[in-house]
This record gives sequence, structure tokens and C-alpha cells, in this order.
Amino acid sequence: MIAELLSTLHSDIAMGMAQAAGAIVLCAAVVLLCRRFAVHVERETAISLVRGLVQMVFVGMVLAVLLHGNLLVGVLILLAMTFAAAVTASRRAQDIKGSLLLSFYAIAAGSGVVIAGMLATGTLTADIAVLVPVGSMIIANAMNACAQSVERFRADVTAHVGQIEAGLALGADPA
Amino acid sequence: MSAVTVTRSTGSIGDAESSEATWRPSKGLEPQAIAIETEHLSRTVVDRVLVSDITVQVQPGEVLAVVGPSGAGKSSFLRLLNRLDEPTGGTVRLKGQDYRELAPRELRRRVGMVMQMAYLFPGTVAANIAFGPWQRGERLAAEQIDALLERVGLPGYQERDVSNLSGGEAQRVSVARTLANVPEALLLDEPTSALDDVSARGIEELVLSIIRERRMTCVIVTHNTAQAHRIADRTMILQAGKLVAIGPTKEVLRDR
Repeated sequence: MIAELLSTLHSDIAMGMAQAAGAIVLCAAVVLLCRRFAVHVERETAISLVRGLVQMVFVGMVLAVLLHGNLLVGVLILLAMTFAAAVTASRRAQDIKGSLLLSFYAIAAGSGVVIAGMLATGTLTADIAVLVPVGSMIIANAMNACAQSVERFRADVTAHVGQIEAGLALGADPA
Repeated sequence: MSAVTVTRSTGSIGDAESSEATWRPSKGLEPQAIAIETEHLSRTVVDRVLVSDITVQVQPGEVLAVVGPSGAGKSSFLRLLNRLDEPTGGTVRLKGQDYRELAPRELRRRVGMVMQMAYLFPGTVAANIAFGPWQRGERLAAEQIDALLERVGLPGYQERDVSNLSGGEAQRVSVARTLANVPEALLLDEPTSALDDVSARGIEELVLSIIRERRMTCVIVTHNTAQAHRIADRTMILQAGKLVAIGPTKEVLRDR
């Protein structure tokens, strides 16, 4: 696996370096254009370029290692993504008790069913290099759906707070 | 028209047992006026004192008006009496029993509330009236709904959609909906303030006749001192969440 990874990395690094060089040339052109109009952004541009390069190389290395792992690693990555998505979605419902766990269950159930269905029908292969990118897109969409549902729920409660209180005053079960 | 009955033990609805024109619950479920006592009742929300250390007794069958300027804590006080809001200090006793010992749903059945707005649920008038008993697994018979509607002056309104009701009619349905729970005490949160003068007077007369007829213990929040004069045996005045005066209505409101 390591040998395969290294051979892939060689060609990928060459391509990546070429792309980075291209991006630097384009940025340099922008900087020169800015200088001509007395806008001095050289320092900020240099810092951003270095930071971006380091970040992308680091993230790329992590992804390269992860995507050559076994299926269990892929499942763990998807679980981590689901948790991160739940954290993001639950920020819209900070005043709802247990919103993080609820969001996690909702996103996991929604995306899990879809991913399982796609795997079962052969639409998605059980290959980590396919599973993680496609799974992450499904999780992202589930996160959006979850966040929008929370927003809609909050709006409905706010709009009908009088009726809800009337129901409670008549002995309705809060649950 | 005949009276109808509710049998709580079985959850079923009985038949007419007399030819009286007014609705009344079955034997054993007759509302018995209860005493409401608050003990150092307080509520503070994020360092803002809404109700501060109020101790007051409402005698069985008594009507107590709560008056005061806007933001004085009148509605906040009322909402504490059926635990629609939770006290942050003190408690309330019903017939001497700490109301925290009661399940909130049972407490709210016994202590009915009519709000400033009717807040009817989408659907028919009959469905709204049947809502409270339905929460306990009971079903109101059509005759019982008829009787309640007749009592609040809306005969034949059973199948009306609530979206077609006027403000006064909606508030009458709201009163009937509360009465369907056979409450022992009634909390009224400015029930006429959102209505025009004619409708307001009609609701006031209706509520007054019901609480007198059934000798219900009643706490009414009102900003209208004339209304307090007409309805209340005693009146308490709140300012900034604190009780500043309480006594017979004529005395307390003499200079107001």
C-alpha cells in the first residue's frame, strides 16, 4: 500500500507543484496590477500564499493517507463528518435542549439510509476513495436539511406560541 | 335542552339527566370552589424581577382582580398560578396542597385559564371545545358541546370553522373550551381587552354570570378599574412585580 501511495504521490506532487506555481504567477500578476494603481498588498498576498500552500499541502497529505486506508477508516471519517455537521446544525437551535444529539441522530439517520441504499444497489462502491467524497456530499445535504428543519420548527413555535400556551393551559402534554 | 354529564372514571360521556337548560358536570365532578394561596411567590428571569414575594389568599368562590400599570407583573403573576411559568421562589397552595405535588396537566385542568386572545386551534368550534377532555382520553358528546355553546350564547356554532368567527365569538368559544375541563378555579388574563366595547361587555357579563352561577374561585387580570369594580370582590394592585395594596375593591380603588 505504501509503495502504491508513494508512486501516486510522485505524479500528484508534480501536478500539484505545477498548479501551485500557476496560482502564484496569477497572484503575482494581481499584485503587480495593484502596485500600478498604488494599492500595496504585497505583504498580505505573500502571507496568504504561504498559508494557503501549507494548508493545502497538509490537508492533501492527510486526505491522501486517509483515502488509502481501509473501509473502517472511511466509516470513521464519515462519522466524524456527521458529528461536525451536527455541531453546525445544532448552532441554529442552541436554546433547544439536546439539540446536538437530535441533530446527530437526524443527520446520521438521513445520510446513513441514503448511503446504505446506494451501497446496496451498487450505485456506490465500498471503496474509501469513493465512499468518503460522495458520503460527505450526502452528509452536507443532510446537514442543510436538518438546519432548515430546525429553523422552520423555531419559526412555527414562535408564530404559534399563543396556541401552544392555550393548549398547555387546557392540559395538553408538553411532550 | 338537556344537561349532559361526564363520567371521569370511565372516560365516557353520559346522557342527559335533567331538562335544565344549563350544562353541568356529572355527580362527583361538580366544581367545588377552591382556595388559592400564594406563599412568597416570585419569578425572576435573567436578573429581571417579574413577580416579587407575593403572599395572598383567594377564598373559595371569591373573585380577585389584579390591577396595575403595564409591565407591573399582572400576567406574570397569573401565569404562575397554573404553572404556565415556573416560580423561581415560593409556591401556590390549592385547598392547602402544594401545587408542585400535582401533575401540571391535572393542575391546569383544575385551574382553567382564559387568555387575552382566544388562540383557537384551526378547525371547527366543536373540535376546540372537545380539546381539553380529549387530552385526558375523554370524548365530549355532541349534546355536551351543544350545551356549552348554548351557555356561552353561541347555539348552533358546532360545525363553524373558527376562522369565520368574530373576536367576541372566538372569546366565547375560548370560555366554553375552558369550561369543558370542569375547572375549580378560573384565571382570566384581560379576557376583554382585545375586543370592541360591545363584545367586551358581553364577555364580561358571560364570565361574571358563570363564576357567580358556579361559585368559582376566580383571579382576573385587568387594566380596567371599572371592570374590577363590576366583577371583583377584592382587588390587589401590583407595581414592578410587588404587591402594593389588597382589599375590598371599593376601598382599594377608591382614589384610582
